[in-house]
Amino acid sequence: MSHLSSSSALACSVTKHKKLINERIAQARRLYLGLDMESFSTLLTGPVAKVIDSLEDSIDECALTAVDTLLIMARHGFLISPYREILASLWTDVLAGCTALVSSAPHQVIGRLHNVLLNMRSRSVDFFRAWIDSLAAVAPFASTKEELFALASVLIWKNGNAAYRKSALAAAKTLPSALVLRVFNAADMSGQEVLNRLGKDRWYNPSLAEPVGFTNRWIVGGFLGNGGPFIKPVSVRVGSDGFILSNGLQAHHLFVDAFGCEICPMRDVPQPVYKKSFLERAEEVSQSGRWIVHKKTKVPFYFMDVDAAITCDNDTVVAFSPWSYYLQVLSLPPQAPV
Amino acid sequence: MSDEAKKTVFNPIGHISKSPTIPGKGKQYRDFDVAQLFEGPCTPEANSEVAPSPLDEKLRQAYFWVVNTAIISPHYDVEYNDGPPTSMVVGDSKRSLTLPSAQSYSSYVLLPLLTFAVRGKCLFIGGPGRGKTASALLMGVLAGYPVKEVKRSMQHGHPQMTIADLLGNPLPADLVNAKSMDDIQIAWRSWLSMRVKIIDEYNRIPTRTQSALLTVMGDNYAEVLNHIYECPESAWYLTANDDKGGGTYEVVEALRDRIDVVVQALAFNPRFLEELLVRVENKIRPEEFVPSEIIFTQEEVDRMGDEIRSVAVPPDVLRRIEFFASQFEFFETAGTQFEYMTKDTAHVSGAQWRDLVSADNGRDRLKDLGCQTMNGLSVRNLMTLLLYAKAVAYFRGNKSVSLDDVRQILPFVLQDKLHADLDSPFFDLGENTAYKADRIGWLRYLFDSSCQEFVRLNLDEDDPVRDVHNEFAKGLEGLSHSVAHKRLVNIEQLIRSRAKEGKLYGHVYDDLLKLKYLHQRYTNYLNWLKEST
Repeated sequence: MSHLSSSSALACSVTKHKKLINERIAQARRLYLGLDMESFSTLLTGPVAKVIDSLEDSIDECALTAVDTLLIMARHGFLISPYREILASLWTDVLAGCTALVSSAPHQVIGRLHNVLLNMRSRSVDFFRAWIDSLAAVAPFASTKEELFALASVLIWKNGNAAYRKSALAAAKTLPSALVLRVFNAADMSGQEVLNRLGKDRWYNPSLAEPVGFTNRWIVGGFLGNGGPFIKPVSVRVGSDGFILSNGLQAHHLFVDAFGCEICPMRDVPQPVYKKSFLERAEEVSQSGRWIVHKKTKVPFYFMDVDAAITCDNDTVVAFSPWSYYLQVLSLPPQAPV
Repeated sequence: MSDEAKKTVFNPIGHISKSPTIPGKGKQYRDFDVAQLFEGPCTPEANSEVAPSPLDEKLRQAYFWVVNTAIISPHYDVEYNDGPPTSMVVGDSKRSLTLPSAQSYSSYVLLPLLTFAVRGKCLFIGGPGRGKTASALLMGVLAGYPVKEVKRSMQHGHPQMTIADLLGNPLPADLVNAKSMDDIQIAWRSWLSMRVKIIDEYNRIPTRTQSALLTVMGDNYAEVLNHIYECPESAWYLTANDDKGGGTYEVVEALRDRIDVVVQALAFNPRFLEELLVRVENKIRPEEFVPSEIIFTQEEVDRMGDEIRSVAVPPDVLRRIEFFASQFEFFETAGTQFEYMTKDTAHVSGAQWRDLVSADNGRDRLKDLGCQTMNGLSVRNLMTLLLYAKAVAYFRGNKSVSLDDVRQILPFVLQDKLHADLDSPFFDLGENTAYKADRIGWLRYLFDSSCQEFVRLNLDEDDPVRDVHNEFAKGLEGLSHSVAHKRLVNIEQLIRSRAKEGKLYGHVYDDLLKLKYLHQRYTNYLNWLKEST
């Protein structure tokens, strides 16, 4: 079992509120039969203590919030490896970098960032690592907690969650220009320009110098038996915010952009709003054997099918394989001006 | 440190998760709003700013709190699927263990909660010490009453229970001095004013007192010495060790008929003994920790009742219920006149059931579902079925009832209402022996078989009686003689074609009665037309 140095701020706070903290931990131990006190203690005396010791104000409040939050995370299985290490990084890399914000609103800052971990727990560990690493790089530049949350929102999207594109872009618009440029690794333009281009072009990535054009971007989907989401072949249609995949039994959103591609099940939306077909663009794309062809550019179609079902919107091609139920997503170059 | 800062984030027993109980449902937010990801159990003060949950969400939160914290009830017998479920065959009897693919529920918690929502009447059955009374107690607490008040107002059935014990008694001084009945004041029992009424071991109440209870349950008032006490609308919970009326006194039929749903307290699974140990060691009494977020006000229960009643029953689902209900009342040998060929006629007459059944030898008694029961469904049963089907659809966050909702709720509504004829050849088959004891399984089998027959007959697509009814439902106003006559002939042709099929089954019998009704309406109309021109 790890121990706190008696001179640490956290140790003082824990001593002061010993009775209250003991009660909470005892209650948790009674109810969460598998509560791993070793991990709890390691986190508290290591990464958490490091942050609390570096605070100037609200030490008691932060200490109590940290104990409570760790107990809640324990209840949700976050004290088990590899999530334990993720929790540790959140404290040592992110919260340690914005101690002023932690002091100013401990419940908000500590709690809300932990909530993200809980709400995104179905994502891979790689996502968490990438999100924490990228947040750690920009968090010290946030001057208010609202900026910190906006940065965290943008980075959730930027690390592969295309479904949040719209709301994350709205959050990005609240950030100062310098932070926008920093979070998107953009240079030689203003934050406003970056946001405008991002809003208009889903394949725009500010950190890349040149647009990529007609190329393969993502492969998603698949038959249920092979680990995919589809029981039956789906029809792909252009929706109001991405694509709509439906097969009579299931309906899904397909969100795609330069940062990620996600298939999200739809509930209670049996009649999605379909946008008009992009016939002109669809005519530019065709399948030729095992190639998807746009004008003179050929990209391999990765599946064995003879005929893929091809759907286009203004800047994206989705080729569905009716045998494997996989979707190959390709970006289209911007439409030439008429 | 400020009081605000001391606010306890962590309160496991009284904690209600802010996450929607059905992902994607009950959300007050826009879909795919990244701001949602920052909300959760780690920020209680932020959650308090969120608008109160819709009532269906609150009802689900109450369910999950009860099932996860209060009652150790690991039986998920109300199964829903949103894809093919995994099913495995186990044991010598080759029974299948199904792993549902969608959120499924424990009837032992769900049914009492739905009863609370619709202010119905629920009977808990099961052996002693299974938590029947504890569950009823929790429902009282959900209605906002302190635990002590619920406990004190609970009526415990016993063989010496008098009407005065149950309802109240006249004040002794008034009895001596009163010159008329109006001068007597009655000290009404406090439980009569409760919105959750609990009668423990109702089958131990003497028959005469049961009749007084029947008035309160059925008509919602109590009467002592010509004085009336009007009770508020309330949910009722009764407990008994079995549902056959076994006890000190036999339960009067009318009282049993007033009960909307019967739910069985299933056996405790010793694999959960560890949780019991925690409760014993820590003196945990869940009813004392009911979170305030799941306590319903009277206004909320009223509103919830209205919302439940507004849940739609789609015509195709209603048609399946119609078809199912048609199977049971028909009894060909019970009457000579067409309208009286029912099981009710047989029961009312007091004729020997066996004699009538043995005369009924024209049909395949294995195939005909009606041959498995001794009675049909009453209007009250059907109304209860519709109300509870709406309630479960509402509970699941839907705006209309699905066939699955009906399938899941039907056995609990009809468990004590549709009586099996255990001498029927169906129950003699080896694979059906278990249905003699498992009435929930049997009722579900009946509904499934009825739906299969419905599909086999292609009634969704081809239902001429429905077409004739729809035609009639448009009204007779302005209908010409020739059109009315044509429809009359059409009805007669339909009856003839049904008659040619030979064998009579319950649904055919009801179709014929419906056609006769329509025929009569058109005949009267044609007569009226003839006289008025």
